[in-house]
Amino acid sequence: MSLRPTRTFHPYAMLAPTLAVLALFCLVPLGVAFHKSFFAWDLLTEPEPVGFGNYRALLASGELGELIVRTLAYSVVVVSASLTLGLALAVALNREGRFYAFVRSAVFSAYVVSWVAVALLWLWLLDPQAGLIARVSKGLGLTPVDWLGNPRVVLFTLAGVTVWKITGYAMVIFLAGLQDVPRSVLEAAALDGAGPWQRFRYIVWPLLRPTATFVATTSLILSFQAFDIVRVMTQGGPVRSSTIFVYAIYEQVFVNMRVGRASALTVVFFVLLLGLTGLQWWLWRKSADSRVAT
Amino acid sequence: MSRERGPSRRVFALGLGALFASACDRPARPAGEVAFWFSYGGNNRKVLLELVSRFHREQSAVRVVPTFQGDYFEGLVKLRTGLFVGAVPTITHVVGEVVPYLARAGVLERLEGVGDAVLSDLEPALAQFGTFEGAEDEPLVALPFNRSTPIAFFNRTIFRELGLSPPTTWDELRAVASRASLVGEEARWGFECPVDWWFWTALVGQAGGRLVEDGRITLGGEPGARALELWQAMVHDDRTMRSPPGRDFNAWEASNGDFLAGRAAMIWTSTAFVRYLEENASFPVGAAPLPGDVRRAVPTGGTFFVMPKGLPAPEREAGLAFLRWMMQPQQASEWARRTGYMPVSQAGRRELEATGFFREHPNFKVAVDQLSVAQRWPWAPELFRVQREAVQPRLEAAVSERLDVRKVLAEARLVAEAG
Amino acid sequence: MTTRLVLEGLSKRFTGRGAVHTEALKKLDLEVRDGELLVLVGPSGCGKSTVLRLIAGLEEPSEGRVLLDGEDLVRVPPQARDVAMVFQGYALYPHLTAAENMAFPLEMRGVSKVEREQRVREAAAIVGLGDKLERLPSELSGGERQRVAMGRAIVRRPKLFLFDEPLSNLDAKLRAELRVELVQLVRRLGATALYVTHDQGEAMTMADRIAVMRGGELMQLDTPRTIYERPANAFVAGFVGTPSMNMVSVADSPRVAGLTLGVRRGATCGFRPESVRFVKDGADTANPTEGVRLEGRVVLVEPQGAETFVHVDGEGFVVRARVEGFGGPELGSRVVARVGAAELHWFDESGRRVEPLA
Repeated sequence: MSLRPTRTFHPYAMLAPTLAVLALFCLVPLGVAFHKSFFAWDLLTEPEPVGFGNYRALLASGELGELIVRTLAYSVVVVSASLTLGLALAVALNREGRFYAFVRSAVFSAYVVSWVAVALLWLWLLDPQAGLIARVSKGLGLTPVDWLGNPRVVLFTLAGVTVWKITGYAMVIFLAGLQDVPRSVLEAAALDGAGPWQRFRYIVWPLLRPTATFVATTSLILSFQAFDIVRVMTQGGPVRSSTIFVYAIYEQVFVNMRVGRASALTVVFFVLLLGLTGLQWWLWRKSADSRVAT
Repeated sequence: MSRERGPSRRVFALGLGALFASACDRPARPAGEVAFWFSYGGNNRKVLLELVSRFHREQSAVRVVPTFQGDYFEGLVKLRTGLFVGAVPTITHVVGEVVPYLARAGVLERLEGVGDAVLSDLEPALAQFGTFEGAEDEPLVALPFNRSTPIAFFNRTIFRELGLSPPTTWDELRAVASRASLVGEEARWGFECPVDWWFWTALVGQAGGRLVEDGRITLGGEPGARALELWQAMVHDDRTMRSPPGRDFNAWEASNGDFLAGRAAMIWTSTAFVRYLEENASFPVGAAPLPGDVRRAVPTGGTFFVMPKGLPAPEREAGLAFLRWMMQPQQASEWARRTGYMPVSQAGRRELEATGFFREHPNFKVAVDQLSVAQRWPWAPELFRVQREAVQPRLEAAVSERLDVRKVLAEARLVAEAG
Repeated sequence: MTTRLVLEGLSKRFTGRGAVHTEALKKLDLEVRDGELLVLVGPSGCGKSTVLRLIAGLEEPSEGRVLLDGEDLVRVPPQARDVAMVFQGYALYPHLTAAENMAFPLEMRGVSKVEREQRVREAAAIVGLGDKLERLPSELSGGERQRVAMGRAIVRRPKLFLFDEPLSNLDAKLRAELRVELVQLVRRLGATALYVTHDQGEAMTMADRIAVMRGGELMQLDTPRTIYERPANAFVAGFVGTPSMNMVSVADSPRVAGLTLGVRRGATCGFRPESVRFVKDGADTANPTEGVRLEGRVVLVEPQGAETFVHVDGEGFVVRARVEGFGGPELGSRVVARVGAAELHWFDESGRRVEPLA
């Protein structure tokens, strides 16, 4: 049977709706941002062409480098922690019984709550005076950590809250992955002499690799898009220590009224994400070639 | 908004419009309706809404629809976006520092129409021309309503116990803060003040500096550096001052909270909080003018009413009618009495004096008296950017990490001059 | 090295919803002798797979002991039992090649790489998988996967092999071929093995001894021949043999439909299809008080080639008969058939076999 289209325009007609939406909401805005990145513009007065001025300013102030490092640090923590915790929880809770079902739902429920609600909840929990965590640590005789006020800690606090929220999602995906591992295969491994750890190491983990890749990709995307939590909990502070990429773009356009600077950041962000996607794609292909994928 | 725009700007407008779920075309407003975007919270919001209800009881031609738009800076973001996509309110209010910028951008309506009777009664130091210098030839685009200066609040109980009186110089400030500090179980800060542009400006003025000199942004030069060094010394050497955490008004709330909880003996904040602090403190609250260094000086603060340009005439007139009413002595004095802001009407101030209100509530008079040393802001369109982008983001790190203040300010000047 | 597996009073209860217990296995005693291929057979739910899983350690018994060469295995985890199992779905590791699958049990036991490769090659040769070793399970046919599973079981030379319906996922022809290979393999290795199937034909052809189970209980344990010729009860009699034994309940009446019984020795009388002999009407000279006489009409004829199954309806009671080749009566014809007294199996009310009087 031939899969050749009867009319050459058919495939394009099929793709048209998706392409139109993609163009309207992704390509055109990206083009506009690219164009605007060569202007200084505050939305109110006439745009002024500045050439590569916006890019130069971002580089010269060192802001760009700091932003990238900060965003990557946040992402690394979020991705690795949500992956590890999600997997650990999935393995621990992959059991029958009402108790486990309850714990599973409880862990997942955090994922359903809106970002703003989560941010407000943790703002309250982490309050250095009245917060539950401060009170508990005082009660235990520990020096309370200034979770949101210490520039060296705050980024990891935000990452921690993010992990708290999204781990439930990772867990559910891993649970689905685990349930795809046939029970008889694990029993066969047990009879073949593999103990619990070896069964995980040699059987479960290789079979979960595609799931793990999926979870890593989604949480990577999510961590790069983080905004709400920064906006609500720290507004990028203290001393810009929690200003990560999307928030910086927001700050440029809506606080500093620099549309051009924000556009330049957006373009850089796009290129960065493109690079990361390429890298991930390449790694995926490589692992597929080495026949690890199912 | 009649200016011609390129096609890509329209696309951008579309995107922003969708982002804020507001239509590109300004929605037609019913006759006599005034859309009023405001940023007052707490008690101020309550008083404002009561004033609006009274306005509605007294007349029926104009109907004001107040909408809360977040704090000043959030409100400003919405105003700018609204201006761009053409979905603007009839009236809103903006911080003083942003008025020259918006005026220069040509987006503000002239407000002379409010009438000479109102204009001649306004407190000069609080009105547009007294607030800014170098703006004598500019059109009138801003009317004052909630205007303030920073003042010092102190815990009378603590001060009485320790035999302290409010400091009048920087040296006294350090000494008093040191006496009032407690370490250990019942830890208490002698002094707390948000590390914020406004209070820094006050210190710069007291140290004899000005932000803009001869049209150049100097950020106070040496006095600017000394202002930061005072904070550094109190935070790191004396350990008597707390720099409250949080950005913008979060820090202000934190210092109010510490003061009310007895964790800070003295704070600097806006006169706007007189009523709030008096009503919520479990101890008698004292207010005092800020100390001086080489001289006494304070900036003014708070917001001005502004009206976007290009509204239909009936809507403009309706807005002016509301503003006119708000500026009248009765409303101006009620607002001042119930909040702590200064009365913008001279007749209103005289009324508060005549009825003995200031005698009974001396804390409310501190800011009014301090107006004599109020410094004018430069009428500089870049003022707002200098504040938000060059100075404010650097202050916190400069103090908390004890950076070289001259280097920090040089960097800020560079950013400010880059425009 | 000899192997001897003994099950003593082995019971297993599963607790379901609302704490309702299901007794999957009731006090089973069983012995598998060294070098023996013992087949557990029974309908689904009879507990045969549970027996296997208890021996493997995949389930814990509610009561009883599993003794392998005298050692009680009940507290020993599966990975520490020297028992290999071939699963119904093969349970191959999908991410490992055939060779890696077969090397896995050796690797887990710390066998050196050189020896692993050597033994995998040997095992592959034995199961006939020489040139497919580098393929993933998804690239192998059902029969090849089966061979990998076999190879994985034999490569480590366990004391005991367990087979859990290893052929049931294959088509009939392949199943018959592999059945033969499997028996030969087990014999060649001299292995001791327990084989579970629901297919009584498979059991008959493969087993040294058969254990027939029903409802968690052992019905009969004996050689295929004894099981067939002297079923211990009505269930075994009906379960073993194709087509199954004709069973006639004679509790109330000497005459059941078109069937005439001679001397009765129990509540139920059974006879195998091959015991039914058609006689020409009038030529029936046998003693009417012995054996069974049947008159009826042929309602179905099933020629198989070497044999033909004839179904005779004696007024509501259908008897299955087997004749050689394509012979026998025609469809629709009226026939008379007899079964000799010696070929009758008698069972009492509880279904137990009643031995004919000596």
